[in-house]
Amino acid sequence: MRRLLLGYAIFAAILYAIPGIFTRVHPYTMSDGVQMAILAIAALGLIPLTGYANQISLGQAAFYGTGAYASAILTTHSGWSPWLAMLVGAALAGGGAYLLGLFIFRVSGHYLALATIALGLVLAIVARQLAITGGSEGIPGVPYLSLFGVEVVGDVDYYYLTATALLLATLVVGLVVRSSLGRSLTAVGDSAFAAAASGIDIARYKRVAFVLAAVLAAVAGSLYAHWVTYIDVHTLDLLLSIQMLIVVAVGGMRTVWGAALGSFIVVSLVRFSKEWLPALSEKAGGQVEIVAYGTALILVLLFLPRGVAGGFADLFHRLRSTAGTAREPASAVAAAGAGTAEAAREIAQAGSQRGERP
Amino acid sequence: MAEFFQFVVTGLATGAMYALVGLGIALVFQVTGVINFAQGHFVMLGALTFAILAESGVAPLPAAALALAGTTMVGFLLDRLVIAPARNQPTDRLIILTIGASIVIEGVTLVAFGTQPRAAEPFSPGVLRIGGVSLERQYLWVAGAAAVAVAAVWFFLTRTTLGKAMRGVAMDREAARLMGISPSRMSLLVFTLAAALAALGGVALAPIQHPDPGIGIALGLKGFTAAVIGGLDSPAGAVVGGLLLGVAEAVAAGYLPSGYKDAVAYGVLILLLVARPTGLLRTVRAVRV
Amino acid sequence: MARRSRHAVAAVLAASLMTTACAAAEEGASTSEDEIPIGVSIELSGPAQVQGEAYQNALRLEAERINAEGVKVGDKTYKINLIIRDNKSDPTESLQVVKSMIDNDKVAAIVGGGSSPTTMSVVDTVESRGVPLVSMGSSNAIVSPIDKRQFVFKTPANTGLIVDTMIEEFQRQNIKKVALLSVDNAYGQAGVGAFDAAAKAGRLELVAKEKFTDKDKDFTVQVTKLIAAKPDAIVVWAIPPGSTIAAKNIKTSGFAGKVFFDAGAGAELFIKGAGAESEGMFMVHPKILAGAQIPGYTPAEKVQREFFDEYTAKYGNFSGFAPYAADALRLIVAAIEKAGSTDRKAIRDAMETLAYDGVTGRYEFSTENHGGVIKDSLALLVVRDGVWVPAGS
Repeated sequence: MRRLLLGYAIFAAILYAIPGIFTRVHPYTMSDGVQMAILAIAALGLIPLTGYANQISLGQAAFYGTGAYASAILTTHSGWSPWLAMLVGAALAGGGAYLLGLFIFRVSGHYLALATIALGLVLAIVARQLAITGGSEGIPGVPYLSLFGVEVVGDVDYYYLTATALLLATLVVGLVVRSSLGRSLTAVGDSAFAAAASGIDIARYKRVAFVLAAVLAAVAGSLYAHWVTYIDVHTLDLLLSIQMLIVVAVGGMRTVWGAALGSFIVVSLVRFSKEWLPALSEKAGGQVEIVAYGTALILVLLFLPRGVAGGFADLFHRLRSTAGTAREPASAVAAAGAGTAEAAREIAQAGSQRGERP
Repeated sequence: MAEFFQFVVTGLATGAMYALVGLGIALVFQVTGVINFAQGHFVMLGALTFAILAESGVAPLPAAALALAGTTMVGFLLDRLVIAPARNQPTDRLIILTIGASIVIEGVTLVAFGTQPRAAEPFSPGVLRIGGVSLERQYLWVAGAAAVAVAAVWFFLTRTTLGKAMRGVAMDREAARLMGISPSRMSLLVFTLAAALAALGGVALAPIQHPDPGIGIALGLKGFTAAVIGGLDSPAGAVVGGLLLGVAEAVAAGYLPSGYKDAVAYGVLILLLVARPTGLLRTVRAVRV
Repeated sequence: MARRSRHAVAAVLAASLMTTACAAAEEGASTSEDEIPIGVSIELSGPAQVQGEAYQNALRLEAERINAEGVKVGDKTYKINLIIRDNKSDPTESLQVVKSMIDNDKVAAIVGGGSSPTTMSVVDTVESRGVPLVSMGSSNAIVSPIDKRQFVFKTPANTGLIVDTMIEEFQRQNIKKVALLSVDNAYGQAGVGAFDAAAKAGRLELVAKEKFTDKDKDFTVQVTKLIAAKPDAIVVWAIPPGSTIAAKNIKTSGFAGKVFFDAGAGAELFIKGAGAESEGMFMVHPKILAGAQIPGYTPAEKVQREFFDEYTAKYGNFSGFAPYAADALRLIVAAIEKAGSTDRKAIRDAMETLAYDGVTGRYEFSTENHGGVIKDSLALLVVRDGVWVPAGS
């Protein structure tokens, strides 16, 4: 427990130290920080869903866009409070995810990936056609968020707001992952067969994870709308959904820190390649950046299957085991204690893989 | 009524295009359980290389052969470099890997060939007119390519030892392995084959698509929809699914505001996944090739 | 405990990674004393990349020319330093790029974005930071309401002006019933809006409207529906390759009436891709596209002619998008010289009073109008023997 609290304390410390760094260090700007935080919140829900339940969602942007549009429409057309609008957006996204989940998880397989892609595409098409969504031109003039009567306008202030939201969201996801629900999700992801045999309602757990992912994405979308003050169909874009998946795949899908770490890496990669690639070659525009982006994703998945966070953890373990053999028995016992579930999972995983992918 | 026939004919023509993409997706899924997000990008590669070669004055036949060879090579490399090393990871990671691969393919193509759409001359220019219905002749080549692809896949899977082995893997991986069939070799084979089929389609589509490196995603998405209609693991089903999708789309665009055309296609996809994830075409699956 | 400690470790290592990354980033590219940094946010990748490439070509060409002469500010001569960044055709990316250029590169002014969505996402930022921006996006919302767009200008003509020019030609050719085929994005929507307004005002009869997406490759169904409404003319509001496919499909369907395109259709590919089928089709576009036919007599026409020749010599094909970006940069430089200062506010103030003959045409900015070339700069072109020529000639 102490280590867990320490983890969150360090995470909070890093989050709140970022403005001090980003405002001084080239080429970061504080708006990179805001983007990282928003992207991390939007991707966070994929950790229980994809990392634990092995369900790919390529529709995170559908929910992100739902949140963004709900906020933009309700605040500009109807004059609602942004916070209330955010709540409505989250409810809409969560409700939609619940409904889709009712059906889509009845059978196992990767149908969720296809269904969520289609959902995002349909919403984007509809948003292009309707007058209330501003068609393709989108909705300008979304008001800034107000906190205790003060408008949060500057990037530094907005960063603190979004970073706090990220911290809270990470706590929530951390709780879910550690709860009995989380342990069940682990079972669901690794061996659907074993889970069913032990009486776990697989579909229900997948559904809960999916709804959580949708709600977090919607909140992130609302935060985005009030930051940029303009939204259009790009908030529903498939590429954004893919980016969110990349964030957790790179950061690490089986740890709550994965989303924040992945978002930091992805946004930094974009920022640095944007800054330096043109200096290397006049020809090198965004194209080279895309190659770097895709290659990084492949390399991480191949060589660090548990993401960069998992890679760090392995590295640390290796260092520790070579550093002190005396401590090893003790830590091994501790690991065995806490790791029984993990060991069981690994066995189940090996089993399911033999069945699924020889 | 002439309008309705025009919609159906146009729908079948674009449907043949979707079928070509869907066929490869279903083939890969059948054998490996992986949804290959790079399939549309294979088609793009085939179409783009062909168009660029044709633009620079290479005769159509050698240009097509080069496009085919190049794309097939990329399919081979995709399996060896990306899929094979991750063989022991769960399938959802493999799917994400194909997404990564599609990003790299698109990026490299952009760097190599630039952003401009290319224009290839139609193989047989002009328009076919029957009654009030008109169709660009090039679509006949697309339909022909789709037919050749289906026939080739059918022949391969039912008449060759390798193909039979592949079907074995599709039916029961564990049993196939016990029979001495290497799933790794089968995966390599199916990715290479899928790339070759995609390139074949790409060459036929080049004059219609005005290919640029960005066309892969859209093609892939329509291909998935076609494959899902066919039950996702049936190449023949995917072909029928593609044709159905094309016609549904064209008729929807014909009688609804055309802005909603794609919403109809993807709406059908969602409904199908919700109501009948095994596909619309059970009977086709029974005789699956 | 083991797993928890692993998490803590991951967090610590993340922190250290970040510090290393930051340390590595310490030295940043900066502009030297006698250079004026000008930021560029354009679509080098993503759906609008065809435009982006033309913009980039035009800007490089212009920067070379401008730097050969030097920019006179007071009694000092500066060079400009273009900082070109890809916004991936994405509004969020565009915002990040613009903020980074303002904070890191301390740009004096910004060129971009190259489309409406990539501009709309940054207008509030440049307003609040007080950085002049000249966009290549066409939507009228970019420059209105004017009190919230004090620092924002654009080079493409207001959509309404293009429609006005078309309507004049409709009257000349006695065209009453018009059908509209548009691309389903912000660009097409601006055209639809202008036509809806014109139809409402009774200036023409809009008998059918259809859309296609920028990913579609066949619009036969849409064209069939349009023809069924029996229009005298079909207007296509799109950019290549969509406009090319539309031309092809319209010819294939055997439509006997006139076909009109807006300025976006004006890339070389349009004629090349549509082949002989585009013969006889009309387009409203800044005069420059009929490059070879521009006589080169008046000083303004000479400027256009030179740009057309230089661009074609350097990059092969001319692009109808290139002039917009060239003018965006020219306007900024002209404003800097007029203001005699590189101060952002001074540049903005000077720009607002600018009357300037650019490559695209003539600009007459005022406190009321920040948008685009004036109507006289537009011309009706027609495809004859595979090239665009002025329709009157």
